[in-house]
Amino acid sequence: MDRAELSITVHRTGDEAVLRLAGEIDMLTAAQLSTIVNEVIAEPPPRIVLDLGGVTFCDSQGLGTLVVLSRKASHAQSLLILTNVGDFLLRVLDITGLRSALMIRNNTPTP
Amino acid sequence: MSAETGPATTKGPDEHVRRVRLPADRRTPAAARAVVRSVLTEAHLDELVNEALLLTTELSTNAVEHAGTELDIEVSADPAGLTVTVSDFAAGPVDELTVGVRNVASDIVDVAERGRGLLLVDHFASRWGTTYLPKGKGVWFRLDRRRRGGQHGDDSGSHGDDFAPPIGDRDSTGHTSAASAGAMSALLQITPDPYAEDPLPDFAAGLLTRVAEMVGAAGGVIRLDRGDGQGTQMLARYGRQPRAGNDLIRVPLAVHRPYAGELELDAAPTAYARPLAALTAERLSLHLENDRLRRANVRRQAWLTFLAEASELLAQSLDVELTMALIPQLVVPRLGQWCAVHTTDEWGRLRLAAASHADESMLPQLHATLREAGPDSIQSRLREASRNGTQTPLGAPMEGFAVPLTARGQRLGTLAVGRHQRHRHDPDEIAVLEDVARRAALAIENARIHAERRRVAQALQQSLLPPALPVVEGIGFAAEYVPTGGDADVGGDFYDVVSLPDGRWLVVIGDVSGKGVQAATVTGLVRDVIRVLAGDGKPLPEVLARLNETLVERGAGRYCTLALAAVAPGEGDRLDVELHLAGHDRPALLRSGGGPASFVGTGGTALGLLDTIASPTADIVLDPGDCLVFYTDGVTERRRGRELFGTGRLRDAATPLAGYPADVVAARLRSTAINFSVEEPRDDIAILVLRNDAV
Repeated sequence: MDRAELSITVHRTGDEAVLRLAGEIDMLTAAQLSTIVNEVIAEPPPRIVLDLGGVTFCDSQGLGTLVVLSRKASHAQSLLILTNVGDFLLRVLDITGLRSALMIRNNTPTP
Repeated sequence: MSAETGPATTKGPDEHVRRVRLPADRRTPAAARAVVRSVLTEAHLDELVNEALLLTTELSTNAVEHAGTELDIEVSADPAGLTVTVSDFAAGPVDELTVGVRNVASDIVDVAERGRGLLLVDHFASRWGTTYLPKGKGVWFRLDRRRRGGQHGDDSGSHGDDFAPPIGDRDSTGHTSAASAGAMSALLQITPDPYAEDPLPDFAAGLLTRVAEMVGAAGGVIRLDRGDGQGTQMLARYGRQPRAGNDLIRVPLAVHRPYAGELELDAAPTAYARPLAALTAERLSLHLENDRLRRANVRRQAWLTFLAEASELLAQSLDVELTMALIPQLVVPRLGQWCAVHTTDEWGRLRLAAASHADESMLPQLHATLREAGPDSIQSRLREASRNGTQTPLGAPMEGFAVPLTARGQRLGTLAVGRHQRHRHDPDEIAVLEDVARRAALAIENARIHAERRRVAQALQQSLLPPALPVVEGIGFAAEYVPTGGDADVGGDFYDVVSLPDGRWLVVIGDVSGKGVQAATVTGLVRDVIRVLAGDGKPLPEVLARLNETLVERGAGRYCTLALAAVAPGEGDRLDVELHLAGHDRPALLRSGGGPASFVGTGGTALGLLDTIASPTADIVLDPGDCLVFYTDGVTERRRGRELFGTGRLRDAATPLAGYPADVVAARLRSTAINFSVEEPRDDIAILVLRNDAV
């Protein structure tokens, strides 16, 4: 497995879109994440939930992408929420100071 | 996946090394992660996987994005931990990598992603750093297995075998003990570029990199203060900023004042790290000393040139006022912000002679400050400097110091110099200033002596000329005298009118060879001998003969030309003149009836040259209004460039003056001769006119 793979599935319900992410986020896959979330923001639901439960790796580019997407969502009157964020990723968010720039709901069960 | 570049790594039973070359591709970070993951599994270091994958990704992403070349990933694991080196093949400094590493959490969102990546490396890695390779550069990080709690992994002192990162073409993958011999010789072999303008920064950076790699330092700096007012400067830097709180190795650099500096390494002071750092500091110190001496030498040479120029300028000036005015111009702004020269008068009081300020608009304030009186005023400090003959500091607001001006043991005054705003005077500058003061004092003293000598010469000259010519019924006498211009030398010209016992008047005009005080003493001698002998009533030829003997005997090799004319009323209104020329120019006869002036008399021998002389007599009769014009060679040899005034011009100038009173003739001839040229007279000029004033 020499290639970073990221698969994203989108479930839209009434007032939220849930995106399940599985795989790795780095310079190769961040663009893919960006594209799909941007499509969702084009018709923004009140909430966009990114379920990172299946994410095995995320580098600083991935984090940067998440921050950018979160800002875009709030410009579009939507709320980007991250769930199931792994412990190590939380640590990285703390170190980089990006945690405050993102909304994280780890213990909320996803609908 | 074995290495293509670099030597084979020595693989111990517990070591796992993997090296791959990957393209500059967006998939490369994932590939690098796969390599790292497999090495970690092999080495049973799974606990490091999160950090290792993240840091590997950050470094390889950086390399892909910024170098744009293929990259080599080297992963080596041992029981204690993991080292990953990502190297590219792009030239250029790794320097910029350190930018943005400092953790500024508040606006981290704005930190460039690249900086954020390095921030993560800096945070998670036990150590990290950069290496320069022949074809590119690399960034490495080390993750150690054992932690001492806390989330920060940096703990280089906790394990016994310190680790040096793999460096391109060196055989130093594993333990430092193996690396040290080769690295040590590299440390000793690195030398400054002898042809570089300033080889020190490169040399220091080279040394620092080597030693930092050898002791596994995450960072290091070499600081240097050259004592030139610029404060402490960073001479070289390696890796990240040494962190406060970490174990640091600090070695002061053994350099002489005003240099000072230190070497600082972000590494644990292990058994060999400290001696290595000390060795490095010693090597560097040696070259810094060299640099210090070289710079000092350059500065001193510049000062020597300055002093030589100053001396030349000062030596050229023989005028006291000019010399005084020159000194501040020499000192400001090169040696100080402002400068004031005070002279001491005969009662020891200081008087401001000249002052200058680098900022013209400050000059009035400087003058005001210099005028202030009081116990703490500059004036009182200057008096102190002058009285004690020592250098004296000046306090605020016009900070600086004063040096006494003394020459040949005499106190002439003081030289006060204000310090520059940015830095104090260094010892070299003070020495130069003292030297300037010495030279200035000598120049002032010389100018004073010169002026004094000039005054003496002029006084002497005046004493040799009659204060006033006698007023005689029927005979008009008039004389004009112009001393040589410029220098202090007295000329040898003189004239006199003496009454003789037989009722006649003796007109004397002469020129003693040479100039100066010695010539003047001979002039005095000639004048007095004539007065004595003629006053005794000796016949003129005998007077000349006796004078000749005296000069041969006592004239110290000087000779004299002389015109003697004894005048007495003759038949009718005429004047009878008995004229003797001892080597002197023939006088011009100006008839009142008109016609060109003529030169009369017969040339005899100049006095003081030969034992015997010829002194022919010429008898001349002056009708009323006739003039006899005597002159010295200062008139005929008056120069305009290479042209001489000459007897022809003298005759032409005299001719239209026929019939005029004696003083008019003398004055006109003088001004004609003077106006002939703009140059100052090189020789003194004497004109004496004898006229038959009978009505």
